[in-house]
Amino acid sequence: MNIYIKQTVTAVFLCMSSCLLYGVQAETGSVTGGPDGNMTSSARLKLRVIIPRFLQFQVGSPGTSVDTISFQPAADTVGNGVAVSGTGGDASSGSGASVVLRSNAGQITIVADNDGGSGGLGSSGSISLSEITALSDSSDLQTPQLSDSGATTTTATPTGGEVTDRRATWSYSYNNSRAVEPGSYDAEIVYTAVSP
Amino acid sequence: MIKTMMLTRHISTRNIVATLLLISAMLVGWIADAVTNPAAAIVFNIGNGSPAEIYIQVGRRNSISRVRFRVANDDVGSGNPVSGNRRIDIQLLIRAPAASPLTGFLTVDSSTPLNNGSGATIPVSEISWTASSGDIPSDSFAGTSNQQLASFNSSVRVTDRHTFSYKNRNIYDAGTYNGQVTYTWFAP
Repeated sequence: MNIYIKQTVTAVFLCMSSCLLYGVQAETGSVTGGPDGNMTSSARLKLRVIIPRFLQFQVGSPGTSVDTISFQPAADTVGNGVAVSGTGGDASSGSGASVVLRSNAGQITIVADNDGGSGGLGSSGSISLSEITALSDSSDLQTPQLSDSGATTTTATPTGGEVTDRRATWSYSYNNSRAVEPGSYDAEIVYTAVSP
Repeated sequence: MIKTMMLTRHISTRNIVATLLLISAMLVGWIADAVTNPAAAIVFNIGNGSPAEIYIQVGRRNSISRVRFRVANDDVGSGNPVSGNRRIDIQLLIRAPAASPLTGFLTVDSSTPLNNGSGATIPVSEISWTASSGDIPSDSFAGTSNQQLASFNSSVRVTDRHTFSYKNRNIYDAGTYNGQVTYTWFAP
């Protein structure tokens, strides 16, 4: 019995001393050997990246400013059916709105609504928004056509998986299909990007 | 930080502790043995360990350390780097007799991308680090299985502290991406 106890105690102490000497834990590695033998040891490191859901949508100038696209037919061309291109906006081409859509929240739908007035341009809605044609230079980020009732939509083409990273320039023209009373006709279009 | 070691004159704290424990174990064994055999002799055999040794530690000693990068909602894929939540200390040791010197090579395997558990992945090459001392130089993970980081001749102890950064150059699916790299320290 005494011999058994001696061997056990000795083994425990030898184990303790060995562990302290070589530190063979998950994070560390220690190897000993002859000078001519290969020695290899390794240690691991975990990495974690946390990406949140997000949706970034910009039409026109960044920030809170609202760009204005203007259509001004010449006096002798009012209502002649020849479209009038818009001017203004932040697009590098000189007219139109630069659009940025970035998201990782799945298929994005873009909704266009009017300003919530009586519909159309002008306080009385005397020019229908259907007189405005919108055009995108990217098939992956189409612009909704405008209507007096609003709620027209398009869907952006995802870049891959749940990710959408698209840019486009939306330009506008006035159809000029009928004569109207002189004056300024205004409307504000609200574009909304919606994720699932 | 690099400390050159004199193998024949330097006895590390670990060796001292191990030696003391060994002596204690032998003493206990001797006491137990003496009860039944008081005539037994004691032989002390104190060695200087194996002639060569390598050692590596990355982060904490007793578990695998983790570096976390949390991207802000309005900053996803902006290209603004995101710093990791902690710095990681890396320690290397290689010792060998002066008559038979060794060269140690540090490599890292970063070939397995981080994944969010839903099929989306981020290559580990999107993560870089800055070294405080530069002994294990600043670099980016290559996303390969055998990227060499540094080499040192025996006998030397090297310590460096790495600050990791997520490059944040692309938009990825939302989620928590986990992965692991393995540092290998070897002397051929």
